[in-house]
Amino acid sequence: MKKAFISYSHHDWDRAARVSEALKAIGWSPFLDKERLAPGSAWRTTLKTELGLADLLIIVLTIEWLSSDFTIAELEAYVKAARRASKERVLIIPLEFDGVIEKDYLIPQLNGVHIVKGAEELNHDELRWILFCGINSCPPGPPGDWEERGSKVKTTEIAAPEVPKSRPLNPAERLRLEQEIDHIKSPQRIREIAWKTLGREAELPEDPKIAWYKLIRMVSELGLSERLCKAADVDYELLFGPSGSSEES
Amino acid sequence: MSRMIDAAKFIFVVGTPGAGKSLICHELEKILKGNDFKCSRHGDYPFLQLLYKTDMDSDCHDRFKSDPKSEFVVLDQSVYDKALELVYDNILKNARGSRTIKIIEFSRPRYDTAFLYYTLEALGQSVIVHASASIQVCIERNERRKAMLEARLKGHYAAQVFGEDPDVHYVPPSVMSNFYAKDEEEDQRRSRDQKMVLSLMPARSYFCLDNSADDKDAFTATVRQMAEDELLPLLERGESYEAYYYRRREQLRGTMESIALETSATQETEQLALR
Repeated sequence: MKKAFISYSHHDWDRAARVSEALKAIGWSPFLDKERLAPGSAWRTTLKTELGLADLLIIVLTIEWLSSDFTIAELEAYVKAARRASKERVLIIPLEFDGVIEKDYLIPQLNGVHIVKGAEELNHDELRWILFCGINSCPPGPPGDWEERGSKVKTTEIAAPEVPKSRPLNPAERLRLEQEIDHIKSPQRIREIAWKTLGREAELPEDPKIAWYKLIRMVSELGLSERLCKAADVDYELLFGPSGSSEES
Repeated sequence: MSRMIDAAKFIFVVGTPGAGKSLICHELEKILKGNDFKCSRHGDYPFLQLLYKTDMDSDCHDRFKSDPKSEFVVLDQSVYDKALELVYDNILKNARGSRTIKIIEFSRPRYDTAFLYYTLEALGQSVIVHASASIQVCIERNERRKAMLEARLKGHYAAQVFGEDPDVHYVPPSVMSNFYAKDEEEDQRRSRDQKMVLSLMPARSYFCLDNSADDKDAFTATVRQMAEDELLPLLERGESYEAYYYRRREQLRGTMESIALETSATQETEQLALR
């Protein structure tokens, strides 16, 4: 299932939740920080990782979004990660709510990106249709038809059950895992393990020590450390106790 | 809206020889590169060397004395501050517009005058990371380095000597003696003063990491926690002077409270020993 990151200001939670529902309805897996961040987790790293993994960035564009440094930083990080991963398309769909933003935004990353105006007025099916068109680069047609077309967009795609996640590792545990694993020095082998763990290619530095640091931190935040251990033939339970436990070190 | 200070881009790693500076630098380098930062490591030694060579070339022998074992011995302590001036002129001043994070490692018995030449702009973009350990522990580690180097000189254990240890710089007793006082009490007072002086510097942030326990992994994990939770955000974005002030005020209060706690704990131990 493809991943979408929803960038929004916390004032606009309801709007972000509406967008999230519409995305789920067309078979996407949206990331909303409020829903996915575990209390006390290292939110900055998780957000950065999720932005790197996302195939689509939806912006809930409001005055609050424009005045927050964090949301703009999310946009910058998404564009940077997408370019670095040499993605064919840097897919951004800005949905303008409120209709109060009249002037140019002076945000270089949004230069030339079509902004969907009046998103507040769209009902669930219309919003679904607009998102579907944005993702598939097709014109939405006359607004009068959006609701009907939106209702016909494939909704039968059922999300695959999520892989059980392991708890995030603390720095001492990550260090232990690094020490356990850093006899693997071949960049090719490290990339292969990354592929098996993340299900996609990860951009990793050549230096194996730095590559392991980066990969382990990334998978720990994503709750995939157990899967990484399996891919690298390391006994997870021996290192950190039974799966899902919260051993303190 | 208040003026913004740029994101930090200089990290000064300071502390007594043997306190764990090189381990911190090594780990910070890994963390920064693993988080897509470019970074480079520097020290003040090349600048001390430059001053020594310049003095020797001009037949001036007031500040340095040639030494067959350690190249030179410093006679005039002010050259240490001069070397830090050169660090400022050559590393910090030239870094305008650069996005590379510079990690600068150096060691002084006192830091009162170390940053005298530095502008507020430069310090505002600098973070001080202080490796702290009791002088006894530092001396023991230094002696261990000596043993390792001697083993290496015998030609037997080169791999063990340089294996995983980030640094095996042995500091000769003539230099090491500058770092300790006549008794333990005085050593503790000096250590507290060092923390206070460094925390009072108008740097962007000050982190004091205790490496007294001889546990390399635990210390590395502490460095990692500090770097990921507190240092990286400072390197990623600027902040307003107000935000900087309130954050530092809290940090300074925390440092002072921990120093006070440390002092009272020491006094209690002494009283118990007397009983």
